[in-house]
Amino acid sequence: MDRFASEQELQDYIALKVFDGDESALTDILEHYGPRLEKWLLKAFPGALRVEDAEEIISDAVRRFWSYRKKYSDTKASIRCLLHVIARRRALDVLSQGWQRARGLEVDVEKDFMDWQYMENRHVGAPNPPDEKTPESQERLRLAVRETMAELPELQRKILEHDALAEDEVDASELGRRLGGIPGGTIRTNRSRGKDAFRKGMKKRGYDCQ
Amino acid sequence: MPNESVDKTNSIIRDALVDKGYRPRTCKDVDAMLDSIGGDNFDEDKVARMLRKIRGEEIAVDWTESADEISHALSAEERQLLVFYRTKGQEIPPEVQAKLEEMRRRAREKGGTADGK
Repeated sequence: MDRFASEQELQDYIALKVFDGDESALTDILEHYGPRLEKWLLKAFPGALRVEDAEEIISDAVRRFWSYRKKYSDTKASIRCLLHVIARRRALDVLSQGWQRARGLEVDVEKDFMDWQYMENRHVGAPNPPDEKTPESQERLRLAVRETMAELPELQRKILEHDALAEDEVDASELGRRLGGIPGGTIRTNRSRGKDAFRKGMKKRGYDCQ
Repeated sequence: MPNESVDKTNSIIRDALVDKGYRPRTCKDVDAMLDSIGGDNFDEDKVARMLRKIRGEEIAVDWTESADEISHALSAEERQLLVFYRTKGQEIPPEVQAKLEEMRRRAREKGGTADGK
C-alpha cells in the first residue's frame, strides 16, 4: 500500500477493483480498512464487543458490501464509509438480538445508509442542529452519569450499559447468556430496578431523565 | 413503539460511555475518524480466515458455540450449498437459511449449550 501517494489514490484503486468485480479487492479492503474498523468497533462498543466479535462483524460487513457492489456508487460514499455503516448496523443487531437472530436478518444497505444519515434529524447537506449544551454542561452531565452508574449494583450497571450501546433494550435471554448464564427473568427485574435507581440518582444530581 | 424515556436514558448513558468522536454522523466524519484511529495490522492468518468467512468457505460461528458442533451438524452437501450461494455473492435463500438455523439449534442442544432460556 506504500506505493500510493495518498489515501484517496488507494481508495480509488480499491474502488476500481470493486467496480470490475476483482475479488483481490477483498484482501485490499481487509488489510487496509479492517484494522481501523476493528479498532473503531471496540471503541464504539466498549465492553460489549470483543475482538472475535469485531472480526465476525467486519467479515459479515465486507461480504454484504460485496453482494451490494453492483449498486455501489462512489459519488454517494466512500467504500470505508459504507463498510462503517453496515458494520455499525450489524453490531447493533448482534448486541440487541444475538448472533443467531442477527444472521437471519436481511440487510438493506441503502436503507441503513439513509437511516444513519437521518439520525438525529441530520442528513447530508442539512445544517447541523444547534447544540443546546455547552461543552462544560455536557461534561458535567457525563460526570453525573458516570457517578450514578458507579453507584449501581454491577449487574444493573452492565444491563444499562449493554442497552445503551445497543441503542435498544437487549433481548433479556440473549443478554443473560452473554453475561454468563443469568436467567432472562433476572435480567428483566434488574433492568427495571436499575433504571429506577439510575433516574433517582440522576435526579439527586439535578437531572430529570423521565 | 419507541419509548422516549428509554431512548433518552440510553442516549445519555451512551454519551457518557463513548466519546463523540467514535459516533460519526457523516461520511466526512467517518473518513476523518478512520484516518486518525490507526489500528494494528491484521496478520496473514487473520486475513485468510476472514476471506474464508466472506466467501462462505468457513462458517462464522457464535463465540459461545463450538466450531466442532457446527461442523458435525452440516453434511458435505449442505456445506457445498452454503458455499455456492455465498461465493455467488447472493443472499442465502430463506429455506437454506432456515435449515442452517435449525442445524445450529440442534448442534447447540447436542452440545448442551442451550442459550439460557
